[in-house]
Amino acid sequence: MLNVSFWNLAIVIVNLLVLYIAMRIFLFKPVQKIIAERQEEADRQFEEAAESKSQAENMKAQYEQSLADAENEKKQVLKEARKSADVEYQRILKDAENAARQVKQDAVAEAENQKAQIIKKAEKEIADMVVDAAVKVVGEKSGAETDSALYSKFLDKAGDES
Amino acid sequence: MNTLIAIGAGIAVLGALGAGIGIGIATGKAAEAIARQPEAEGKINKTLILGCALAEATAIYGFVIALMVIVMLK
Amino acid sequence: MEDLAKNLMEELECETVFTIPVFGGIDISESVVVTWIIMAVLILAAILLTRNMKIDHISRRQAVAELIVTKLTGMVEGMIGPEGKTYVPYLTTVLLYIGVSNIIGLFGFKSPTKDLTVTIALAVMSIVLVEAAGIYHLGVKKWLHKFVEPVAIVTPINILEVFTRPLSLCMRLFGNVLGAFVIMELIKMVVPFGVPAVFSMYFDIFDGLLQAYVFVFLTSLYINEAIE
Repeated sequence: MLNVSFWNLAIVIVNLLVLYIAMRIFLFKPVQKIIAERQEEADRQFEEAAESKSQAENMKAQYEQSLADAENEKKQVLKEARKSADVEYQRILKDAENAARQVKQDAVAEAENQKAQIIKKAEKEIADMVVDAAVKVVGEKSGAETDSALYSKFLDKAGDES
Repeated sequence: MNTLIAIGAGIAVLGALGAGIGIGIATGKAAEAIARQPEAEGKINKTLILGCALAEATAIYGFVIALMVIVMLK
Repeated sequence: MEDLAKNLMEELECETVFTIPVFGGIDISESVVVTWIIMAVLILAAILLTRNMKIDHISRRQAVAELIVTKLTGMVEGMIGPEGKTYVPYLTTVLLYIGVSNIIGLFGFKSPTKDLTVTIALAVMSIVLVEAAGIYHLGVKKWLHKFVEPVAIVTPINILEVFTRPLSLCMRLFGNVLGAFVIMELIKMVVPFGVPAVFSMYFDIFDGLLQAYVFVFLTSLYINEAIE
């Protein structure tokens, strides 16, 4: 118990050192390695999860974006359609108006034309009548009497005519 | 001679006195500390046990010396 | 009574198991043999526990190994602090060794820590480690300067401390184990069965593990002091 021998001391020290090295090799190193590996694995998985989450969020954002785009597009199309329809409507309206105006103008022009023709015709007839009357008057009598007769004749004729 | 050895060993073991007083004081203080801060009980207990083990060393030294006196002088 | 003393002395005496016939005969004492047995047990247990470890779906064996290692290293790290991480495996080994040797008496072996040789070896290793750590971390100059701190007059005490520290470490361990053993023998003498089991719980298991803890705690305290 109390007797200490140098050799035993040395042997115990060597024993302890051997035990220390053996424990290091067989116990601490593998366990620490496995724990480090697990940590790494966990980190990796965590990262992966974060990544997939961000991916999912990206996808969601994309999806929402596309949804919003579709909505916008729909609105755009609708707006354009409405606009084009409006333009068409306006155009048609304008066309119609134009056509109506044209018709009216045509009608007015026609009427004017006819009127002018009628007037021309009337004038020609009047002139003919005047010539006729004049020829007649000159043939029958001359002077003031003639003139007045001429007038009345003309007037009669004109009254008949009209 | 044997009587003297026995007396010597007995005197050596008197060192246990100090350990007893020390452990008593430490335990009393620990009880006070726990009363004051019950949530720190685990830490206080750990420290107390450690302190007791260290204080006990005094008694152990006395014991070892008593044993040595007996074994060596016999 | 004569009988008891004789019995006790016989139990306490570490006899030579065999002699290696070199250098004029090296006597191998019982404690060395038991140390070998403990080493074999610890190493075998380590190999068995850490065989084909996996990252996930771990077996119960691996869980036990991881629990032991993480708990023990965590405990030692808590004592020594983050600066002394290098010394954690050694201190944990010492903790395991002392703990196992203190309770191996329950299995009929003679505790190696009951032999002064083993505790001296442990203490010598501790103090060598402490001083080596001081030199390694601070350099020779600063390490030497530590002896004249805080004032020059305490230098003899500081130098003396280099010897008293291992002495107290070794004596504490040895005396505790020896004392526990003697008291247990006395109790066994008085009450042959039943009661000794209860006291054995305290003296062999609790005190044995506590002393292992205290030994490692003090060593880590010294290391901590030496490297800062």
